[in-house]
Amino acid sequence: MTISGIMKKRDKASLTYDKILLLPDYMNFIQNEQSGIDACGNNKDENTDSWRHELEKAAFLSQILTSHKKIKYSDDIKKQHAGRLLARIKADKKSKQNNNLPLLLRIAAGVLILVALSVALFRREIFMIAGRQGPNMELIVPSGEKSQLILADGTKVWVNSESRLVYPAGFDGQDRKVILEGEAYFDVSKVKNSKFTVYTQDVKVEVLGTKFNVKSYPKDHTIETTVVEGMVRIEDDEDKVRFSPVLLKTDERMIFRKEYTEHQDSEKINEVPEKITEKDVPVKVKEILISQVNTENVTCWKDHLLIFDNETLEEIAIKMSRWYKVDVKIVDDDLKAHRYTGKFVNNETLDQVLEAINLTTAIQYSVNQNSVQIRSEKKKL
Amino acid sequence: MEQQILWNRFLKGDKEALELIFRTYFDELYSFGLKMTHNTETVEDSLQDMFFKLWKNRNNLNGISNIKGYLVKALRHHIYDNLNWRNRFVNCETPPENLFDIEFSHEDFLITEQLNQETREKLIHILNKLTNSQREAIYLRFFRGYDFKDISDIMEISVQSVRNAIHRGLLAMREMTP
Repeated sequence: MTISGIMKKRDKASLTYDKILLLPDYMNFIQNEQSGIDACGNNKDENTDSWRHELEKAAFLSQILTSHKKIKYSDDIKKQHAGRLLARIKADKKSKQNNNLPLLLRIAAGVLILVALSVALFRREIFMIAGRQGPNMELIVPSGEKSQLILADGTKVWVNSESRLVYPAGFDGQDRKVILEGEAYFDVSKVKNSKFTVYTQDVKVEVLGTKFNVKSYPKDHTIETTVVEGMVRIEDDEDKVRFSPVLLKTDERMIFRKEYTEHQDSEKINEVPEKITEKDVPVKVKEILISQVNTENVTCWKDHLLIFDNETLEEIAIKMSRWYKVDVKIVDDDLKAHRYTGKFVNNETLDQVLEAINLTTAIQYSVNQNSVQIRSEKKKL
Repeated sequence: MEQQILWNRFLKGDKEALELIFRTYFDELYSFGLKMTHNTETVEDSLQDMFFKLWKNRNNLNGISNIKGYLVKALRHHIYDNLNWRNRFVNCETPPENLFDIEFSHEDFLITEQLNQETREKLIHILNKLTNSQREAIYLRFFRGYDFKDISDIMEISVQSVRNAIHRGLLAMREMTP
């Protein structure tokens, strides 16, 4: 039995076009009612007229809304797309079967890989992730820019300014390894029995499926790892072992102080303004510091938010130079220790940020093409 | 019933059944996808990804009664993910594309002969001014003939919200009616 059948006549007549079209079987309803009215013939009272009008409206709307163009694709196209799907399934199955290669073949493959590895040894980094994971790709993000990519395993990576990420073009179900110089945020896909490891210049970060941020600029004195979700294991470089492995949980950040060496790796992607690093922090001991943090402040850069969380002007200058691709110099040393907290959510310009800093501390700044100078405001005499 | 048998064959790992399902629902899924985004590549990739994942996860797919609805919902997810991810690349200065921006064009109504140019333009204008969820619900209900329960499953909102969205959409079309 249809709705129109069980509804009382009075209730039906109070329906407007929109209510009619909300009925589950509005098409039958409209048809039945229209033929009902027609059958009654000359019964011309006001109520029937307005009822007929609402029915007409509903009929008209339903007609224009349902008689749209229906797309039909040819069998050839469907076959073609289905073929693509089946090929992909087949390829997936094949790659799985590779693990069951006969012993001899596996040894042969092993020898091949060894040869490949020894060639790759010339570049230590490549050595780490080469081998069976296919060709390596390299993403270089200059200062003033940010980038995102999805790795072959589905892991999403946001790469911050002035950073470099080396990653394999494909993963074969073995452990996944990438190399990072600079800062990146990882949203790692869970893959059974496959660790995901981020190698930085000094430490390596191992995970199974989690979200975390790694900041490891060669010119920075620290390496910071922050876990947004899940857990990671941080290990020192195998040759050095300056600290024992650390398990870092959600909302925790580990800061590792690198030993200061004057001549660091010369392979830099971009120069950080010299003035900033010249005055080195006196700390020469390596140490690690684990603390609870508001991860939002750490990972905000990936959403294009510039946040200063009780940071010194010196730290801010480095951040700004990467963010805006400028050279920021703080002329007066006493300014460097000033701390600022602030949040810029609307892609503020460099000038706006400097102006905001100026609002809280009297500073003078001059912007000249790509270089910024910050100095104390001269007292007016 | 026939579809259910086909579906069960697919669940058991029958690739032929998978291909048949793919071809059976291709029109429906493809045209739905093209309403979500104009980018045919996104739609095609999402369709491939969706079926590939479906095949890999077939062992966990018991108890699906509404196959078409399930597939549309799954495709919607994949397209959403793809678009969402794509939008991450968009520079902040240019606002990201509206997701689920089902957009109507003249092509949709060319078949409706009694609509003159002016009415057609008015209708398209009104439809495109609806909110995303109103537009999507109207599209699924009238263009695609899903019932409220299906739409609620696909859009992952309550049946009442579906009704409300459709109702508001219909009211906005008041001036279209004779």
